[in-house]
Amino acid sequence: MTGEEYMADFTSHLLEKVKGFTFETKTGDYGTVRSIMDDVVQIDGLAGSHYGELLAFAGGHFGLAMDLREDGVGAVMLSGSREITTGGLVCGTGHVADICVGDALCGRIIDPIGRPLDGRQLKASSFRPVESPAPSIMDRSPVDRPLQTGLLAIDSMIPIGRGQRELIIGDRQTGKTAIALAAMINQRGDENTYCVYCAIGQKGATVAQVAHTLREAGAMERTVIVAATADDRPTLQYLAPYAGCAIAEEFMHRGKDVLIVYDDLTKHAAAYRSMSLLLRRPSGREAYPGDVFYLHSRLLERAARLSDENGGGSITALPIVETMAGDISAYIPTNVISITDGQIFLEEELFHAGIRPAVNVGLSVSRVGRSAQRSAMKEVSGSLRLDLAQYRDTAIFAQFGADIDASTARLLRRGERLTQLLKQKQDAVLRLSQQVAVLLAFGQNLLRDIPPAEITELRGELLEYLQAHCEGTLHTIDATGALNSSDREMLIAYMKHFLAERVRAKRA
Amino acid sequence: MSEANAILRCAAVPEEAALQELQRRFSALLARGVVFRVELEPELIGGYVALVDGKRYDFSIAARLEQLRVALGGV
Repeated sequence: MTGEEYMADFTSHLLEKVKGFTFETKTGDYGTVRSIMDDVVQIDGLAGSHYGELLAFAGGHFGLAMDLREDGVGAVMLSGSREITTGGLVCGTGHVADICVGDALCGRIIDPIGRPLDGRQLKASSFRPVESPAPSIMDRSPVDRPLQTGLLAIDSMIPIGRGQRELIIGDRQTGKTAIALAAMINQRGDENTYCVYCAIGQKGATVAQVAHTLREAGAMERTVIVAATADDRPTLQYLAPYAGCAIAEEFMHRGKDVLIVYDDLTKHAAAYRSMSLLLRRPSGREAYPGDVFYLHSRLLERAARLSDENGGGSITALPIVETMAGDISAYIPTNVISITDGQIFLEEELFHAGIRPAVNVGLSVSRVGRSAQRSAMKEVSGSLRLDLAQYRDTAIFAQFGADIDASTARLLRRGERLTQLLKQKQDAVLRLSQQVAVLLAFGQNLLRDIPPAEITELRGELLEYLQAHCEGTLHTIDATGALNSSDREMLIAYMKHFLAERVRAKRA
Repeated sequence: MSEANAILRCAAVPEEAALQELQRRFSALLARGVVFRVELEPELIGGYVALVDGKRYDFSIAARLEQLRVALGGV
């Protein structure tokens, strides 16, 4: 086709579209800007606007109606508050804030109103309202399928199910984001699972690092990053988790499983507090507004496992909360703990002692995950929590050089090895079969003669050996989630053989 | 019958006869006196936007072009 022919074809196509088009006269409510302070606009008029309605300001800027009064509306700006002048016109758009959703977002970084932040154009064809009701009770199914994080300490002792809300809580710099990242990286091989990472009030460099880590690990393909960084206005930070959830819901309603990370809800609550104070809402404890509990409960209730009649999709939420000096009884942490189905508590002391992930097993719990755990994992992880908790209690006494009996010494030896075994880097995620194999080795006491310092290295070698010699068995465990007695005996035999060989090689 | 608070935003100054006709039509539509205060807004390109008692009636070329832009989004 020549250039002229192409133009003629294009023009006729365009004319056809224009010919059939009928214009509508746009009518709607309007108001005028009375005042603007710190991104909060007081508007006269707009009597018919709805709560949360998107308002259009001059110059193509938008705001959200947050306070409806008889004589006007209080709104928060989403963009361009410096260009708004008093007396300026404000029009209601008739619809609530929405966000672009769908496959076009995969691998992309966007802000909470759908603007791409990665320098590439974004063409999305479908949209969802940012706020929408959580699935009803009848639409839900019990949480009965596991979501493997690839981290031995979590999958074995604090298992997470698809549709669960598991809080990650701890002081700053204790590896909270690293756990969430490991869980996201571990979903890279599963084509039915999507990931959404919501950065709320994070540093821009941190978000860039997260994107880089995910890309390097090959996990960006089905991941969407929604980012409202620390320099974004509180309104955007407030919207970010709801926007991320709307993106996740689109995938869930298509029958897919989604893992969504809210990093972090402490900053989200602080952003909402700023907004509420500027809107002159009454403040309560720690100056948070009265609905700060509802703020997070309505967000986390949107995580669900849908029934098979509704497609069977799920949203698993990993909200993150930052504590100050390990105080989990502060206002926001207690609120979120009470909403979620369990928490992974990370401790600074453990982190600095080199135990990473720095999970405090005693304070961590998963309320629904156990029923979703695969039978193979259940079989080998039965008493791990107890072993580790007993070890950590006893180790404190042993530090004082107290005389210890033989059974306590055995407990300490076992605990030391287990602690080393559970150490793991965020990108060194393990498959279910690999986790089952190393826990089986531990359970069978095969590691009792290995010095604790060598355990982590040995784990890698052992898994390589098993991969080379029993690939089929490992594959069966991954596929079925079960460990039958013959596979179990076979794995034990190979592991014993590997360890004996290793001892022999060392002696030589 | 009280007079409505009314603004007419136009791309160019309207002719007096056209303005009178618009005021007559709006008065009939709203069953109250409408006297427009004219404001110029070249961004509208053509047509007008009437703002009467908290309601906005958009007959501008800019709004029509925007509708067309959205409709042709799939081209």
